[in-house]
Amino acid sequence: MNEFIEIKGARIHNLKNIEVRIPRNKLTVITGVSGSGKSSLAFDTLYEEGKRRYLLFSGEQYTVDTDSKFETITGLSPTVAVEQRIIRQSNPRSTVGTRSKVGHLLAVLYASYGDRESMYDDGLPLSMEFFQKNSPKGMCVKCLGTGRHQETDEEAIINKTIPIKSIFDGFLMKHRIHKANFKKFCELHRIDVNAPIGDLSDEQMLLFKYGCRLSGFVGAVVFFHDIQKHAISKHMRHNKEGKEVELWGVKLALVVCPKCHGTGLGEQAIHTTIEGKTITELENMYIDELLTYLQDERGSLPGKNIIDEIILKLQCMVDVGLHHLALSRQVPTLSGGEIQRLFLASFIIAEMDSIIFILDEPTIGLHETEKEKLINIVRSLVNRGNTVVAVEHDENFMRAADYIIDLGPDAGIFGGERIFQGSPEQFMLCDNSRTAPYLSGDLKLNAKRHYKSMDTKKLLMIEHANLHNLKDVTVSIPLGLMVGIAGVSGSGKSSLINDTLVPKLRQLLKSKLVYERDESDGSAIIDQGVLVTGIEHIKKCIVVDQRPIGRSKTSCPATYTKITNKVRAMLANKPEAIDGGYAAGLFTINSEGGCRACKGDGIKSYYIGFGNFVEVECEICGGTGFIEEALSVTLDGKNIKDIMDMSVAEAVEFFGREQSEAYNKSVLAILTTLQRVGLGYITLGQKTPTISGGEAQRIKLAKELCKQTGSGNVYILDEPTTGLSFSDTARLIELLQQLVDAGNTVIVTEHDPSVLTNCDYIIEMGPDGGSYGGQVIAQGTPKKLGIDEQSIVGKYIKQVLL
Amino acid sequence: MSYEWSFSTPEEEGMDRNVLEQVDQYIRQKRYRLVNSVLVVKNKKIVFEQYYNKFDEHSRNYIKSIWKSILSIVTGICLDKGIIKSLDEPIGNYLQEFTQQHHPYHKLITIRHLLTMTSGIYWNGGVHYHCPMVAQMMRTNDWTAHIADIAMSNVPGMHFQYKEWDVMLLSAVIGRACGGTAYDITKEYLYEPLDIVSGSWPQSPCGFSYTVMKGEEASDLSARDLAKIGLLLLNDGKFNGKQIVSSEYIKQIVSTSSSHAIVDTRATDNGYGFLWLLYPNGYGARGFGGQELTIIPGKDFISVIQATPTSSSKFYGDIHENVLSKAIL
Repeated sequence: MNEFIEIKGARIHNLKNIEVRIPRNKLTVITGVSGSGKSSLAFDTLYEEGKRRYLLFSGEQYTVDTDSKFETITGLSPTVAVEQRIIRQSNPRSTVGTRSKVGHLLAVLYASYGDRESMYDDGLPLSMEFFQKNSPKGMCVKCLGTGRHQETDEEAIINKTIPIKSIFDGFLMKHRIHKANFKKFCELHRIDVNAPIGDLSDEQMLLFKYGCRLSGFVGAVVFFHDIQKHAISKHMRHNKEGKEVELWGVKLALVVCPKCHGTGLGEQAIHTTIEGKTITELENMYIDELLTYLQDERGSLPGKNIIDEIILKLQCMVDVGLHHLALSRQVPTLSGGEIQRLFLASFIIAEMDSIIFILDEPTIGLHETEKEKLINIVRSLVNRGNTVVAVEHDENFMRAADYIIDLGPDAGIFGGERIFQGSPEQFMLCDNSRTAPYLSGDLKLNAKRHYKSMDTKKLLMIEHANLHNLKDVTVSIPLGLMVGIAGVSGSGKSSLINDTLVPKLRQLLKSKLVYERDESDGSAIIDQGVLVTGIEHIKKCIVVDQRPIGRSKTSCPATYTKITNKVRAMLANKPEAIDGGYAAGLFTINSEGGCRACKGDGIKSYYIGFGNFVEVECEICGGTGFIEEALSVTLDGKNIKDIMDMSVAEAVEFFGREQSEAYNKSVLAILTTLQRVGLGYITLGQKTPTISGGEAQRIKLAKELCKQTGSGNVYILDEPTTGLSFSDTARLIELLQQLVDAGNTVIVTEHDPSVLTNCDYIIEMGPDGGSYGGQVIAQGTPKKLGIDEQSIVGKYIKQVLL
Repeated sequence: MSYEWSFSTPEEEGMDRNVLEQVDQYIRQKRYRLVNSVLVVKNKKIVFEQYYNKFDEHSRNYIKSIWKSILSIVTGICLDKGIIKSLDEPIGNYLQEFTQQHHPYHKLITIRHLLTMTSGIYWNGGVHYHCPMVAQMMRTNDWTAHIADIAMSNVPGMHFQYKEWDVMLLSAVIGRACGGTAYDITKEYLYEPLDIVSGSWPQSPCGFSYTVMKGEEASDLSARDLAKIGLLLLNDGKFNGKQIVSSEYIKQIVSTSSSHAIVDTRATDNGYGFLWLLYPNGYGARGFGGQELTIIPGKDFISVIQATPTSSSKFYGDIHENVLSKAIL
């Protein structure tokens, strides 16, 4: 039996033909700065090969790699991975309940043992699909399971004072499909489009609103409704910057579906209860509350077998720190760390050994107390006879490891080498690692000694916040400082800042609030009772979160930061482009420049049966995705593909040379900002799915930093140091401090005590998660929290300050 | 009124006997064990008939969605008799469930939209068309009211999608218009004149005829009776000297209203008339699990295939494509 997994000649991405040995039945941590190659080793090499071999062995899969990623790997077992990037979910119908399958169990329970109200009981049993709102059998037919219904306010859309031709800003008269029938309608009924709408007779008004069969005109109300549908779904797809959806002056509202009252379920399901509770009520409870309820009521509830299985699964979810979630919680609203732990819970439930688990920063988003719990869970996986390989930055996790592999020394092409492999004790003595000095204590993140004092005249006050678990919270955020919001998972940090403060600020500041947000994940519900004052001190508010920067597979850092537009314009201005008649649109794969054969992907997928695909480089474009003409125009010797393949660091050099024709100040400004937030290693054309949440946030931050200057701005960031190594964290904190020094406010939600010690003021939520949280338990300078007995994070801050 | 079928030989009616005689071997080779009847009517005479699994000419088999095509003829009869005034009447004239402001599009749905499967009501047919949404609807007491509650995916008339809602509503409209059920009209004005043997169609709790539910066997028809429907269409709506349905309506039934009939996946360029499938050289009616009625008017040719359905809805169209139609000289 092999004691080690041996990888020889790993060379994918930036790995430089390295050799590593990973001990089996131990916990190994792979460390290194962001971009050093950790994920390339752990996921793209180890995980992928384990998966491929296992499936090959079972006769199922057949894949062909065009480039071999390594020379040899021995000592493999089946691999199971939980990678944040792969599992970044965007389907709003996916919930904690559907993912963990606890939702299915509840559906079976209700189908088998539920009591139906007599009016809805036809004597025939219901199947489990009737309790699943994603099933066509179980969903509410009015809202199709979404729980929300689009209303059309007929009064609002027909303005009787304006001339008929001006309705919908004249759009009806111009609409490609409907304008002809509308013209026929007007002719048929002798209607003068210059006359006001109010002049129409009752009979004409009815036809005008609901359609006239003779002419084929569908009616103004129907027309509006149809456009409204498209507008809402387009808005959801394209993340319009924080604006409310408005169509020709009419606000479009989504209300709670009147048929299912927001549950999304059909009639049979909403009238079925067990001990007086519907399935929706159980799915909306916090998991720890649900667990307690089931454990207490186990004696009297029907279906003991199912209940026991549900209890087992819920207990696992509590153990991995997900007690503050509810089964109905939509997966896209979860943080990367929470999604990961959801998957982890299912592995523990499986109770298998001799598996190689590969984890991607499992401690992300966890509070210090929760990290300890997680480390114990991971250790128990190892003790059961499995091998665990984790990519991590967390100090405590590294100390708990049996074995460490360090990659580096730096990022991108400056990384990819094996710096060290061995025990943690030996690691601390390592000389050329960027990480070791932080672990051994030789290097430390600077903690502030002097805190900026707050100006009592410049406060942003939130009063009576009651959303979710918040318990009538009133708190003042001092402006002009670095403010940290701390607290365990589920204590109410996001509910206070993201779900209460931000929507309220959007309402009050309107276009002065900048926030790219995906509307489809939910509630644009504003806590009506909350009061926010002090906005007169705010010039502009910029909100940056970790959600992916673009939905389509062709979005990348360059397009997001609008660098691509500028580069394309530069290319289109070259003489050979002008001669050839090439416009800027040629230099993008989305438009004219894309290879016709592979649609710009660069690869073609061939289906080879059994659900497997083989990816082969497109022979027409040679894998570039561009047509020849697009590649023929160069800027200082590099064509569009070469430029997109550059890392930010390389691009800074390329666009920064003053004598070169590629010199461009605005592109350079964006690129240097990206470097400043620690993203020098990512490539301009890197596809969004490969970018982690933390990286996405920093790209967004860089974009905003480039735009805004001066003082009086408020930046709201959500765990910005997620996924950052020590040195990158230090750099980011420096950057944020510069913002504060320039007269801005930075509000950061954070777990990391070292980052919190760099704040001037901390507001701590707690004491625990879910219904045990929702209060401000401590506030003040880090030093003050260090001695405050009520503060939980204070103890950890104190340790850092010593 | 009983109908006497005429019989003839393939040669006399311009068909190749040798090809027809291969049908049996073809079915056995392909192991089409569930096929029960194969019938060919040429120039109005039965020239070929084969039964399996103890079926004979009187045996009745599931018709499944062929019912839709029959309902279409019944609609034409109602139109001829003035029971419904026009195909462009809004269904709200008969179904007040659609005048309750549940959705702004309801006022636009006409009988013609129902005949052309373009009502625009949201539909998810499920895997192998197992109709999960119908399963949900069948647990309610008022099917029409339930359908009126369903979300709309398109403006009526804009988008073709094969679904059950449209024929259910059509059946409800006919029922309300005549003060009874669609079966009442069918029995008196179609089945009796054509001497077609059938039981009473089952009904929804709210009182409209529908066949794919408990009591479905009542709607079963024999192969020869299905062929009579074919004769009716071939003869411009006339049967046994009597005009059952107007020839103008028959013309509309088999004219294209939308392209892309999605039911018949073999065909590449088909259209859809009034609940009838259109092919390059003719038209037909199809039912889940292998029920087929195909008519080639240019050759005065009708073929019928019947089978016992399974949950994966096997079709045996190749019997017609590869053998029966190839026998036409």
